[in-house]
Amino acid sequence: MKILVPVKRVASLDDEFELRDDGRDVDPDFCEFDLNEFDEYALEAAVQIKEAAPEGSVEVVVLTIGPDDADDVLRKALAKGADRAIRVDDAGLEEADRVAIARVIAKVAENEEPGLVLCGAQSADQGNAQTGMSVAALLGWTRAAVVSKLDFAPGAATAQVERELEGGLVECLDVETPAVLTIQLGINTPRYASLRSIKQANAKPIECLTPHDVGLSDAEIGAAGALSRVRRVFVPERGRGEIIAGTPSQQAARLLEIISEVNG
Amino acid sequence: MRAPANMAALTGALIARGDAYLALPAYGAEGAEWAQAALARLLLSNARLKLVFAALPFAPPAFLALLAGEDRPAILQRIVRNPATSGATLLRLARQMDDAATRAALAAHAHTPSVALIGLAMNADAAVRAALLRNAGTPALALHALLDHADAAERAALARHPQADADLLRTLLAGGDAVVRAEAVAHPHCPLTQVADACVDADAAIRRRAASNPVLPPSLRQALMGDSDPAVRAEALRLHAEGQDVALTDDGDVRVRRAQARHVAVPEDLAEVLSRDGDVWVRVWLARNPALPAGLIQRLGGDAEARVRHAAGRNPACPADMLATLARDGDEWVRAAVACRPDLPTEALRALEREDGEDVASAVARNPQTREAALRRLARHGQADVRRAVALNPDAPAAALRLLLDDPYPLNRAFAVRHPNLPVADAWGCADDGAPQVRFAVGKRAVTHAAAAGRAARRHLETFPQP
Amino acid sequence: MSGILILAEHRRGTLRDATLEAIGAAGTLKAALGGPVTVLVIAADPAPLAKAVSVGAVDEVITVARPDAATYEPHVYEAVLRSVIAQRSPALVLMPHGVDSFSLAPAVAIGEGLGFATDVFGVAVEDGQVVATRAGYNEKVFVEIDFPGRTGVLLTLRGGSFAPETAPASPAVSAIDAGDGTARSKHLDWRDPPATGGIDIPGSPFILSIGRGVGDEANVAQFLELADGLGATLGCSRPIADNGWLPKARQVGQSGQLAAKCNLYIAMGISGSVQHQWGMKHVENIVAINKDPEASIFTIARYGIVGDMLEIAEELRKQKGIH
Repeated sequence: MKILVPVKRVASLDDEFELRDDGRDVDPDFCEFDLNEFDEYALEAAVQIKEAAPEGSVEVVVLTIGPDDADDVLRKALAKGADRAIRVDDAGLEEADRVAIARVIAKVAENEEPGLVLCGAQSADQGNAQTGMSVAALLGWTRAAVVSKLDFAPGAATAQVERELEGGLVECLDVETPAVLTIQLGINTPRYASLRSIKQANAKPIECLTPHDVGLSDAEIGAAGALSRVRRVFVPERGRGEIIAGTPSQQAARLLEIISEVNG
Repeated sequence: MRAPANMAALTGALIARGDAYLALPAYGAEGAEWAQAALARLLLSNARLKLVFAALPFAPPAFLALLAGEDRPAILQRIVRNPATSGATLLRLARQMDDAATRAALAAHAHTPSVALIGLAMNADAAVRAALLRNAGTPALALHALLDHADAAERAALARHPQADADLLRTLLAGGDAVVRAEAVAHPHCPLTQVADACVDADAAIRRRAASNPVLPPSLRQALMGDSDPAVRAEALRLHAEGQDVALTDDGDVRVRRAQARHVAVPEDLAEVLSRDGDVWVRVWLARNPALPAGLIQRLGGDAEARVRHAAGRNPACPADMLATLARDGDEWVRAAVACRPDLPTEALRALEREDGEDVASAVARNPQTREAALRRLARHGQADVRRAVALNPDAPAAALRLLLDDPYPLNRAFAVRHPNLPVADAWGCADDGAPQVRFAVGKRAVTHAAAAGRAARRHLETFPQP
Repeated sequence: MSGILILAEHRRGTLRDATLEAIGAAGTLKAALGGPVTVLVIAADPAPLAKAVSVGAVDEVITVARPDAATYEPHVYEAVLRSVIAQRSPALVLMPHGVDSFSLAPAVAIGEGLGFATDVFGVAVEDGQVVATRAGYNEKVFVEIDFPGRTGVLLTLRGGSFAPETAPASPAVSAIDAGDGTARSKHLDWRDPPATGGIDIPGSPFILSIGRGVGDEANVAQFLELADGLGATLGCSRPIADNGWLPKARQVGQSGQLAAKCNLYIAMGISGSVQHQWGMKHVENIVAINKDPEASIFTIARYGIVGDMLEIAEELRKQKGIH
């Protein structure tokens, strides 16, 4: 059985940053890129299922969509226990939104036929919480979001999961498989890759495909497959939050006010 | 893989590797001058890295001076905010950038020369004024320049500024505002007559701030220790120095008792009373009071509250037999308190070396008396924090540090690379590490080593001059 | 193609407040988009919920009673909601942005070809077209999103962004049968969050955290005392735990704890390294206290104090009578 883990190379911004000339995103010179933290938990959950199953019976496949710079996050995932990596190049996907990206992932899933797709609950940079559940919708598979506990034996007809709801309430449920689950932070403790596994990962091949290679038609690629468009990005007025001025005694008094406002 | 031993060879190797993080520490280093241009090309080759390095507080000041020649405003703004930037570079940027944000950053920078700070104080906007008031280096002359248009909050900040002189404080006190006055009477440069007046002020807040004046004469302090307000009494106690002729007496207020308990001059009979206090924080403060007699530390080491026993275990004056007793305590955090102490009796340390819990294990890992075998085991502990503690041990042997070079957690590798007990040759083996912070640490180690070797060689030449 | 359709969100028999906020938002958009404002209630027993959503600008409540909708089930909800949208063709569909809508909204938007944006806190109508505003990059930028070529739009709304509507109204209530759909997951149980005791960084709603700015081990005890007096859990940054000044259980950040349930985080003398931010940057109310106005922590803080943590702490103790 395969488990597919789609991962994203996310950007975190420097303390100060500038927008791109077209005003529709941040200038990438001001971004630090890394594997999405939520996806690390999804990957770890997949690797743990693999490690609990008989040797060789589960293959963890990681997938990302992006330029060749995004190979970094695939190598990181390989070093942390993924077996194979696929990158779909994002040329022609500049106007893609999360749904259009999900169309690519769903096609790869159709080709790979995994028993489970595990995604991060959301991305650390944009936090749309759309991609994983869009993949499920496009595949027509069972889905559950924000999974904080997962029990699944490869081949079983259902998985036992817990979903973490608002306010810490937990719902326990059985989910039919194959399924797409989005994974919450804290479900496990993601491992750090050992230097040996990093070296091995660097030697592994990465399969590079185009959206056409995976079977998408022009009517599904990029803007054509999107349900939204970024019109502009701007920096909000209250960029830095409220600075509490005054003497220490005045600052402390305001802080006590905030404590009672927030804690009610 | 041997680390190049002299600066010329090292610089050549760094340039050949083409890694900016590894090469950064070499820029401006003694003996690397010949390769400055090649280093500059490498370090300035990537737009993202220029922005990153401009904000890096560990960047060599010489490199920041070079980077200050770039055109991109975002880079220059970061250099002005970088605490490592030299005064000369700041002055140069001050001449070419005159926007409000840059002026405010210059006004806040610890390396901005006094003369420039005084210049900024003239015609300063609100942001520059605020930055100057926060900058501990702002000279009194600049503070006087800010006084004219200061609002109430700024006047209070002026009264708190460490460079405020007696003249400025006198003027501020004459203004009469209670908040400003409270700040001024706490200032060590405040004229004594004004402080004395404040000690008998009707407003308890003013008396409390006067009590916090670090140069308050003992007679005034003694008077405030009999004040009707417990907050004033507690404050007067806080700064009361050992050897001053004032008496500490039993006090009904818990705030005052807590202040007494942490006081180095607490008399033995009062300490005896406080050691039985119902308030746990009184006993916590007392237990870690280094002036406490051994007998009382012993008693508090047997307290029912783990917090109190922990405090006793952290007390530098805790006697050896008590340390040994606490090393067998049922509470892990109490055992951890003594596990990192070099004065812990050997037998007790050996027993703790066998423990696996992360607080005790990381304390043992930091203890310079811990055996090499135990450190090697802890360097492979399941918890990253425990493994890092081995690198924080000043006496960790190379054999234990080498194990950390394979640690999956990048920060742990960086700490191991920085450790002086790790041979430079081993550090150099991490020159192609995946984490930039580790490669920077490797470059730094290699550069420091080559610079020291160069100095030693020159000394040798000076001692034995060539004919 | 007109009107606004709102999906009611409820849990354990109680309407969630976020639904009233969606109704509030619909009230402000009704004039520009045209009515009616319709609320859809899917439940095993919709009657009490239908009453709860009869507020403000609501013109109509549609109820769908299904035994398999006793608890939220995404596949059942999807079938019902899509069938109602297909019949009504609303210009705008609203639902709260939350754990339940995560698994519903994408399927409905894709299935019905609706324009789609999530976690939206601003909605405008320009020339009859919906424009949504949301945040990106940890709230550092705002993003305006439009939906070219889409006649209907589905938005999930961020909690607390729109005033909840509570004024009673008397909309028409009609019960319909809608959608086939079968459940593909089975609810087993609820589990309430555990009551917490001891050092519990992941479970604490209020954390006061200290960093290098504390300076010396001797100063640490007064922050334990202060946290105690304020009703907060004391946390710390890595260097403090590395020094053995506080137990590892109090360390917030990578290789430490995640402040998962925290609503108020006061960071004192913490510069805000990436490792530390990992454990707390998501907290809604962050107060940063640091001597260095350039410290990274200020860029994620809602409130900032540029000052000495020891002085602020001293003032807090005095004003709270903790000393």
